Amino acid sequence: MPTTNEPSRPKGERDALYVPHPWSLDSLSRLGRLVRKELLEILRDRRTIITLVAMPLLLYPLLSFAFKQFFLASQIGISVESTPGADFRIGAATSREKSEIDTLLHAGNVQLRAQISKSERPAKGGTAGPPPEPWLCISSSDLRKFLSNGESRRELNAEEILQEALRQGIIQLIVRIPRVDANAGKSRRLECELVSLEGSPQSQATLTFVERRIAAYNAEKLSQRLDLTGAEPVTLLSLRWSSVKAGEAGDLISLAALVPLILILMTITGAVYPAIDLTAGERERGTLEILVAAPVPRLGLLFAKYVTVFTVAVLTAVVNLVSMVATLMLSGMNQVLFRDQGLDAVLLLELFGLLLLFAAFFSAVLLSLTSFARSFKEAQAYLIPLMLASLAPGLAGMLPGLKLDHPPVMAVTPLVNIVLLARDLFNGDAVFSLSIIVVVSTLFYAVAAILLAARIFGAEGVLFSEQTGWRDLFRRPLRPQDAASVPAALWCLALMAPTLFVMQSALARSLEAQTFQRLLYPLMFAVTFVLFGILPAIGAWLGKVRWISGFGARPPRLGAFLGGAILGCSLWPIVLEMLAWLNRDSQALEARFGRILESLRQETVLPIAVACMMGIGVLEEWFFRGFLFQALRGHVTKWGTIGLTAVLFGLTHVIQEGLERMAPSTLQGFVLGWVCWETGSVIPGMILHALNNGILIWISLGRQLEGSDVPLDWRLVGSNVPVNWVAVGVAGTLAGFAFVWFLGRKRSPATLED
Amino acid sequence: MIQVDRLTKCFPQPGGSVLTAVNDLSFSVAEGEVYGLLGPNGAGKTTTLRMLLGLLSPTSGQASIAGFGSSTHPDEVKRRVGLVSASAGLYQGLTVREMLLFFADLYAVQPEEARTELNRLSYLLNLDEFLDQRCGTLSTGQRQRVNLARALIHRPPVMLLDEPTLGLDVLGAQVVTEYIELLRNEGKSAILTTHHLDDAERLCTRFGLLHKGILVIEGTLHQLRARTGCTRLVEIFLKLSEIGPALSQWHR
Repeated sequence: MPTTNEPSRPKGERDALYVPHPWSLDSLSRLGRLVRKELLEILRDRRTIITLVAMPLLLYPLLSFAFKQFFLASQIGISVESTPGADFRIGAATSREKSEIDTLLHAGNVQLRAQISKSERPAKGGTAGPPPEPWLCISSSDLRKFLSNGESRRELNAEEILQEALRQGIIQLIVRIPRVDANAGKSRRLECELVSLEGSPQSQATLTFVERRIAAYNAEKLSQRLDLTGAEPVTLLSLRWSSVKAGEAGDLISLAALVPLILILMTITGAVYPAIDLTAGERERGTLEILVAAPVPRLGLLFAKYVTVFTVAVLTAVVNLVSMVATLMLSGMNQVLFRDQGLDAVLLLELFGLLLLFAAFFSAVLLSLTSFARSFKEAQAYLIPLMLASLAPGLAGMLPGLKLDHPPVMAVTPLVNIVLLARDLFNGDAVFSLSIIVVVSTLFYAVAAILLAARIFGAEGVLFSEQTGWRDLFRRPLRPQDAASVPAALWCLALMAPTLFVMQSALARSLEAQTFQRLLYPLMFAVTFVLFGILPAIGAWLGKVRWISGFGARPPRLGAFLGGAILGCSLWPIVLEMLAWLNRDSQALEARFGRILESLRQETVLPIAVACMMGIGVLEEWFFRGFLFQALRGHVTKWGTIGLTAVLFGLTHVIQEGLERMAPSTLQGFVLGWVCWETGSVIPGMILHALNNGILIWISLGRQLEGSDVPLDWRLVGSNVPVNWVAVGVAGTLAGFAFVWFLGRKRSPATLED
Repeated sequence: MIQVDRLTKCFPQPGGSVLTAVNDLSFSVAEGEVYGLLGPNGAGKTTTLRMLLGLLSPTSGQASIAGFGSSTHPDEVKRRVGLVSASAGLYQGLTVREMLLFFADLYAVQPEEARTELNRLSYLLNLDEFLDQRCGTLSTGQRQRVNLARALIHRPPVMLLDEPTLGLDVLGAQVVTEYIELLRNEGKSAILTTHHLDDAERLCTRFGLLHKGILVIEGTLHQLRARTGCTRLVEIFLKLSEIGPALSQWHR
């Protein structure tokens, strides 16, 4: 009869060449070899080479050519009047300035032509007259009639007309020339102002055109002055630059900001083929069955495939980036597109970092989708809608009205957040805290997608589709489980962290209303209850997880309760001190929390706030040291489990409250993880967390403690915590550790391993 | 070595009905025995092998190899099994050598041992001439020989051979059957599913005839002959698969 007990080695195995030892993900070298094999196969495929090398090398020169030939030409061709050859349209405030600009540009033009003709031999029989001058200077009074109806009806002064005409693309540059001071000496210097439109390549081109002519004009005047010493005074022009932002309604899409979108699309293109080939392709070729028949965890196989797809995506990104930069440099479009910031090395590095992030995310999404597919065709059918769906947020991200923090959901919306961050980087106004939220939330999504792919890849429903159905992928296990699976726990986290960010941001924004001030903490508790309480409970039900073991809800020893309570009362000064140190120069925190806390300094609100924060502490433990911790502990070492949970705990707080929470929350996570591990129960941690939260919110509401001159309120965040309180906190923390260690530890290490 | 105990696999069908692919199947295979699992198409042979290997989870019952449960210790089972399947493919972009060494690595065979085994298999299965050729360029017979070598590279004590000669010409089939004989002589346990009943008669020590997921009859050739009154395996097969009477009527 069969047995599932540990058997002795069968006789037949003694002759085997190899004594098997367990496959381990720790064996990086084997993982590396697995990746090498996948890469070898993929890179030998000419289809990969086409998308990896040939397409980028051809695409960017072609795009550049088309852009120059058609786009710029069509934009320039929108002439105000039928003036042949008027490629550059310049606005002047008055007729006097218009006349001076014309004279100036004409002089500069003549000078430039003379320089060119000196350096070139005259063409044989070249008797054709000079080409028409390619600019058109228009005064504000003439410009009024060209403004769109709404604007022309309004009473605008000359300056407003010029700026509006610039925004509407009627002119491409405003030039301001002050009157010449007749009393100035021999050498007069006039400051000429050039006003361009931000992000407009036509405006930049016109600016370059005018600058060159002014430079030529100055050179000519200088040489005149040298030749005619003592003669009439010479007027030289110095330049001052400014720009006009595109208006809200008539904003133009920044062409420079289109670059990241193109790169992103190209990176997708590079990753699509390997993703299909390594998943659906495996099945179609019949290699998937023999692959999963090998004693290798599916997560290991999938991870190797993920690394391969990611590598190809990054290689594609690099080739694209190089090709794009080379094209921009060689075609001279670098100056047209990036005149203000320039396409410098730092910007390129930032862009590359963003592409890495994007490749990490998109490779995971692609793999999770293609793992569903049973054939190449089916995978393509899944990916085409994804590609189209990616275009929509990508293009939406280019719209000027959309910002990373408005609405808040943008910061955690996949793909849109990356495109918006890319745009902010190009514009030089990326916010660090929002960038962190984009990075962390994207990484969360990537991990969730990999885990989903690992669950699907090689599963019955996909492997033997003729025999099984999709429902098999999502069916509950037959037998009850002691803990949730790691993918289930991480999926919960990937769902809850961004949702929490969005909900909390929405709550903070709604603080203006008096009603919401009273409801803030109850609402925060309600959101936390749903996300950290109910969501893991659903996960546990779906995974048939036992409630006690799955959430670590075993009753601990009495000493563990005491240890948890002492730590809960002692940790807060250390946490505050850490926050104070991290935010020593920051006014942002004060600005952010000040309004909230002012609204809460009411006797009626205080008890509710304290109770809610204590409840939130309990719920966070229910998930982090309960559901997640118990899922991880079966697969990772003690410190791996504690560390990983603590870091994820810290990252979740970063998404909620900003980067400054990373270190204190991770430290708290370490303490809570250690307490959970040692006591064998989540309950002491719940007490610790609840007390810690309660005390922090209590002192945050401006309670002055005895023996301290400094009111122990939230402003401590901006100054140091009194040393005596930190000392008491440290002593209490040590005592709490001692209680847990000597009186609270679970009796036998086996207790938790049951 | 191989134990199958009341193994059942049901697949829900689109209309809400249930297809029982394998129904309460029990048999065992001793060390050094080649067990012929025979039956018409759709009898449940491949499903049984997949459950044995832990690729499909049984609806009820259990299977074990070398004492390890297929559902409870799938990795231990996989380490001890070499799977040869007619539908198994090769990595088109890898050379034969690269592919075989890759699979050796998957089974955690030490590189030196893997190379030695590769040389041995290459000699026995006559792979030398195309060892450094890309798998995508091989003929059907060559591919099946490579597949056999791939399943053997980690020297498993148990072989699951799912129609290993399907689609091969006489010469290709001869190489494979000879090698199965060699495996049997080496003392490996194997389950062979095939429609080539002559080969099965020659290679297998015992037989189980599956029909619609049910084990209709089991025993050595001698026992089957005694119980059915037929002399050849093909006659027994036709008789028990309820195909014989229909064919007889058609011939009349």
